[in-house]
Amino acid sequence: MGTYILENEEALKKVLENMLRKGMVEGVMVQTAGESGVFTSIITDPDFISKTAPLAPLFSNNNAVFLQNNGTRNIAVVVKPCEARAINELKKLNQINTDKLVVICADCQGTINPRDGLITEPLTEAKKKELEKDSIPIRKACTVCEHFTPPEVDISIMAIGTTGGYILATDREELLDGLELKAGEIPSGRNAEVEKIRKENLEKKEKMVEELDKKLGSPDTLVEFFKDCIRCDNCRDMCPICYCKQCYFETPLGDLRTDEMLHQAATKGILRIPPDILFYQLTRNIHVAAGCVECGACEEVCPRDIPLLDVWKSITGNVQGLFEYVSGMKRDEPLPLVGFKESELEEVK
Amino acid sequence: MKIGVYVCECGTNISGTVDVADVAEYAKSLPNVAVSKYYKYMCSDPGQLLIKDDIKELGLTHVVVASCSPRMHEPTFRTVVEEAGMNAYCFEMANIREHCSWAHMHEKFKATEKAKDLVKMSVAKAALLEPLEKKQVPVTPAALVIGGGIAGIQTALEIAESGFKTYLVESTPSIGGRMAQLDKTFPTMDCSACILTPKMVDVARHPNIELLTYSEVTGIDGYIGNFTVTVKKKARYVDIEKCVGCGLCAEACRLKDRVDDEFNENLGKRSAIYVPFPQAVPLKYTIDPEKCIFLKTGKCGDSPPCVGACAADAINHQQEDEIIELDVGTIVVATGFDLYDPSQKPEYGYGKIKNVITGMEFERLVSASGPTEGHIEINGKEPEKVVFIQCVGSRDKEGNEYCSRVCCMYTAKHAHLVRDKIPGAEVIVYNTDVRAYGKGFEEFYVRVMDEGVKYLRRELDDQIEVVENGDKAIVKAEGHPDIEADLVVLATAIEQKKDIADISKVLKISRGADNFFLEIHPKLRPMDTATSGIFLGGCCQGPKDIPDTVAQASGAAAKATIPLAQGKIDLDPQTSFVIENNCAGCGLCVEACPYSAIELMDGKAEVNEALCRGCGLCSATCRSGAIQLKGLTDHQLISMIKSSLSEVF
Repeated sequence: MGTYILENEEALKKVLENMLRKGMVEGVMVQTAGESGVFTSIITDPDFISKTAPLAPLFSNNNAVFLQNNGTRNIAVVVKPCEARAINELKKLNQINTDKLVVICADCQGTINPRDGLITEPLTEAKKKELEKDSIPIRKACTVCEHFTPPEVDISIMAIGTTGGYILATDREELLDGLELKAGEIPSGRNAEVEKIRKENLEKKEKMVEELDKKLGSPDTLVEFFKDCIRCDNCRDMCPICYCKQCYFETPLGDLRTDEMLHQAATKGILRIPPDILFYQLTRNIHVAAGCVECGACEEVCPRDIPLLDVWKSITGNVQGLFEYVSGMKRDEPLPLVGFKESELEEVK
Repeated sequence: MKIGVYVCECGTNISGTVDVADVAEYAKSLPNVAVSKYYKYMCSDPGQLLIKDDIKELGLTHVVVASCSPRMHEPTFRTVVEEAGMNAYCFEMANIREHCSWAHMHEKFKATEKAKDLVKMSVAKAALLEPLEKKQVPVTPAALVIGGGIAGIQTALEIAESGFKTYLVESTPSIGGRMAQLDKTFPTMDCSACILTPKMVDVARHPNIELLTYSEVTGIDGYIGNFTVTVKKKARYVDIEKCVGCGLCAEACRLKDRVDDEFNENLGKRSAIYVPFPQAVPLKYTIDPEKCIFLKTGKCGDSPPCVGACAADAINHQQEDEIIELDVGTIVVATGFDLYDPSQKPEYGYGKIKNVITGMEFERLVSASGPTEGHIEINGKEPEKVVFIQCVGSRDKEGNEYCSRVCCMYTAKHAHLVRDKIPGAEVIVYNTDVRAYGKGFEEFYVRVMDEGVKYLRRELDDQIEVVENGDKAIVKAEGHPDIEADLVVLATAIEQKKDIADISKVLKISRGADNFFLEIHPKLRPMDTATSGIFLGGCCQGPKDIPDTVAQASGAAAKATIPLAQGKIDLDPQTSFVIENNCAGCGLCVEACPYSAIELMDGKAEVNEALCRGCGLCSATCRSGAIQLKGLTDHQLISMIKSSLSEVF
């Protein structure tokens, strides 16, 4: 693996621009600062790279959603660790062809929902204090995140542990052809610092799950928890791991029309609309649990402010924990729910 | 749509707890139900007639029977409705016995309410059942038998006798297996080789048997009736068409009497070119590639002496493995067993103390064809005191929990043989319960005791240790005085083959907790595996003595012959199918399928109906419901669930 020094974000932009100019990729998917705000865009003209803000700590949705069924043309994508994990997970499910992607992923020290503030410069501890003063919140998902460093990707950008600037690490050195980068080293104190943050976040996560477990426990409390759901399906549409071509809840069987609702109402005299809220939520829980990357996109887009992330933190921890699996960390790990080992889950025998 | 509901009393099995009249009355109120009745025994002839008459007279389109488990009578009632002109798959069963009356004997009211719910669910499902058509596939009229021990020999002979081509594949150079190594057989003491070798010769001579020795099955594709089997014929470095078995090559071999002889449990020596034993079938020589100087170094003197010695010009050091494909309709697995290695338990001193041997080593020692020509000797001397220790590696809480079933009797046989050959010898057997359950076994055991063999009982948990003392071994068994013995024989357990993981991978059949191949039903289908068309014979399914092995092998032969004789096979139409537009091509169903029945073709799942056994794992795995099981579709199952829910869900 080659490790190089990037003095600043501009140096990273040079890497992107170089790939585009040399024709290594046909486009770059990256955050861009425009007049109306910061948004993710696909850039084909290298001159636009100067306008990008690849490390902007903003998150409005998980961009892996837009990479599903990527075609046959090469693009580079600059993503956050939770997005990179979703890409890897979708690769295992045959929904993303990573051969056609150059995934570039940087350490993430927390993100902000753009509606709360348009911050474009990368987060540092000092910057975080400033935000706190201005009452701009870090997203809840980020405060309880355990996997904020790049998983298996093509190019990793490391910020934690460095004294200003970044370390770029890659196995695909051909992607840096034509650039004159200075060789660097992964800072020795990095691991300790990463572990320190992870520990802090983990404590917060455990508290969150504990609080939730107090609330939930029986079907009745689940009904109560999801009672505000209006079945807008935003959580599903913005979930990178919900990859079905045809959602069950859009088939005639799951998408109830009035005749069927009348039929069901008749069995007990009354039926709440929209029907099947709990069925819908639990189905998503079952389908996504083993692959959830805990990005919190679902909660971000819920118009009724249901604390979905809390549920996912609890379920994901339990299910993936059971299989000693963390979704999306690698590209070629077997999926836990379809793999079969002769001796496993002895405790539930 | 007209649904008929029939509630069974099952004598008092159901009606003793569930108010069947109430359930039948309730069923009349359910949607689409045209008739609802109850009767003492629905499965009896009058009960069946009741259903048939209603189908004909009322024109029922669907039938629900509320009775016992579908595993009991689903086939019965499917036939009933079919005989009355209805499609067999428009029938649904509600289990109100195992799932209700038997489970809730003391809560009669609640049991009745639950029975109503179960009937309601079945009616909801029945309304959505669609007719399914049975399909047939032709059967290749040939069988494969894997393993050439007594089980494989018996199976192959019986299938071949029925008139079908039979391939017998054996991994070693000769058929005969473990039985060929035995001296006498208990309890009748007839000579093992004398009863086995005629059968081996029959195999070689049988016009319907194609014998493939020194060959391994490396792949199995397809399904019942239509298997394609890949076999690797390992290079023997001898042209078996030319070899006449004269043995001059082995005499000439530079390694004559220098290679450990596995047939003699390494107690004797052979050459690098060898036949395992004189009665080998085929009597063709094989060069051991691990040992042969020429194969290992490319040089053996000026020229290999075996080549010079062979008048038939049969030796070919350049021979290569050959891969062949066989088409067969059914397969019998008779891969046999290995023996427990007692050096895993250092307390027995095996491998360290010369006086300690295994039962199989004793067999070779006492056999007239063995390295001592049947003379029992240890360190060159005839033993005066022999101790047998039973249950070595069997009935072991940490290891093999099972009883190996043959050790009690082979130990009795060994004890008898010692007394027979060395009349003055003192013989002691440490045992824990002598299991003499078979025909003539108890009589034999009593006879051996009468001959003066001393049986000492010890608990399995009690400590036992064998220590060396000069040219003798001292057996220290808890609760007994120490015994200074000349020879200690360990009755080692029967275990699954050591390379079973590889064999399993090729055969794709499952194993039980004891590591032996798993039959589909321990009592009623002891030769069937979960894969249709693959059957089990002999010890690969569990420890057996020779009579039981032969009986099971004959059974497996009969099972494997049935589809061949029928010439075609009905496939259960309740298989899975793919709704292509909904399939995202994630491949989870491919991974989940235990029968390898699903493949991804152009990014979509595709089901091989002949391989599909209708287990439904694929359907349960598929998130969008793109793969469904006929007769158990999401639509049908969800209608059952929803019909039973009382809450606003």
